[in-house]
Amino acid sequence: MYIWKCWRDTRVRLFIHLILVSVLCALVIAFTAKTGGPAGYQRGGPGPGVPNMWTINGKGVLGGLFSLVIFFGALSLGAPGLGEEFREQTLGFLFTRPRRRSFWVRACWLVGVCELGVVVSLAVVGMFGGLTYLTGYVYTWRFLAALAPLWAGAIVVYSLTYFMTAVARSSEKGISYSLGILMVDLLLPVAAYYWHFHFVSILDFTMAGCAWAARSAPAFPVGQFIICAALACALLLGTQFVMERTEP
Amino acid sequence: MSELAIRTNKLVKIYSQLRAVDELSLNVPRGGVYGFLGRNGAGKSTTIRILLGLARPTAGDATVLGFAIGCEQVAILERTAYVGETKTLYGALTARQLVRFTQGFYPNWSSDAVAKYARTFEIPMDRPFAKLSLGNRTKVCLLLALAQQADLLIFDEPTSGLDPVGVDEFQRVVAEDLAGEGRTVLISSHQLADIERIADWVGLIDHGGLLLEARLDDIKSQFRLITAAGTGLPRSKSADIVSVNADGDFCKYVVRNNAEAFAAQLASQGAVVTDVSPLGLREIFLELVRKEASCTSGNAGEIPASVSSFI
Repeated sequence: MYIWKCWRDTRVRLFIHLILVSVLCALVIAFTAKTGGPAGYQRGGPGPGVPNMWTINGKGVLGGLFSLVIFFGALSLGAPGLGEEFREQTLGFLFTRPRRRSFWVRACWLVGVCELGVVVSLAVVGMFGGLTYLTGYVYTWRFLAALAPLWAGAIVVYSLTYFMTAVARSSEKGISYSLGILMVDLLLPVAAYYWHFHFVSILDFTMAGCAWAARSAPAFPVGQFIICAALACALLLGTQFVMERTEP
Repeated sequence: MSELAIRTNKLVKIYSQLRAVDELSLNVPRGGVYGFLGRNGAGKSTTIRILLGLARPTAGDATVLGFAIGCEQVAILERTAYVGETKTLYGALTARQLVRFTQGFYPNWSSDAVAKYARTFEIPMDRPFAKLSLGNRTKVCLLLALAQQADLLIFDEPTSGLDPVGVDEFQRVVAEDLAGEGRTVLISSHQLADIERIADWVGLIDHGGLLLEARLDDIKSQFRLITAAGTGLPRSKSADIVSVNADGDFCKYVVRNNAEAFAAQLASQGAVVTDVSPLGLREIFLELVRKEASCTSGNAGEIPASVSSFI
């Protein structure tokens, strides 16, 4: 029942993001169709431009544009779960139900992860369907594997917001703090470029993952994937740690 | 099985500089109604929150229904129903949805009890909680607690916002349904008259420490107000004299134990004893708490010997 309650708290945000991703998908497909170039790109069978088009859309659009949109969706979805409990001052009620506190933290986190999965799936499947429709050709089924890096990156951002909401005891503050950290994460690669130090941002990882899925990169960024998964787990455990010590 | 529903052993809770609970040792027997009394900020709610795992004790330990707080918290919560002092539940959910939300956590949940108490308290089941009046919110919280069929029910200011009819219904439910079925009920309240009507045991705390814990009947049979007139009457407190109020040649004594002997002693000293009357819980509470306040300036938390000997 708590999962149902968490779903109630977040469903409006989820629907907004689903609509946003759908509209964005339609716009990208329309833009691609408009600027697709020679006839070979569109319903022309496996012409020379088709793989290139899939790669550009896979890496640049899915890995870049969509991952940014999904990251902001993750920011927004990470806050309400625990944030609503703090806002409504219902932690006292919740924590006197016979379950461990870790149960509530994990259940609420899991709902958001599933919702993110739906948003990411819509983006990937939408792009896959759109490109298949435009080119009349399924270039690669591996394209659908772009789900993994997009979802993993989104879960890290989501878990960060979830953790910050627990620390700040407020969804608004949780979003603000996470946004600050995410901005640093997005801007650090620029600094890394100028000052020549190695830094891998979450966006770097999703782009590399999507590039692999669209066949323009030779290998899936396993190392970065493990770091992302470990980071998401660490943030979840951190949230659990904070909530275990919270005195509502 | 332990004979005590709740046992605390030198429980301490410190919030920065404030000792909210100060070496509190409570013994709440199983079965019956226990009135947990004290002034605002005496430490009642903090004690309850510690028992339910909502706050962590700084020192000391406690058991609830034989389970240790902290490590066996889920077992405690499975058997304990709780209505907190802030009656806040999910505002967007109706009482019916809150029932559906809560029932899955409790194996002994009674849908019959839900129907019965929804009727008794006249709860609008299909209105969002946020749109209910304070009284109706309290009733929803009570409904959720009562339907759990818990062994122990802890109510923190349960009648806040209830109208007199609601208060009367609540008292009837506690006295007949809960105490009648052998469940243990701990009620923290400032409504001393209500507690006096339904409690079997009373625990009184002040400054986080226990002042008094005994059967209500024993307390009422032992405390007496003696009014006497005369010159040279004793004006100092002792083990049995809880308080002295002097006005000219008139003195009012609140005496614990041996009131008749003390009255006879006054008479033998030439005083005229005009009245020896029993005291209600309210008067006893006021005398003990006032006495504690006057006795503990600069010595907060120490239980006066005259009272601790009674515990």
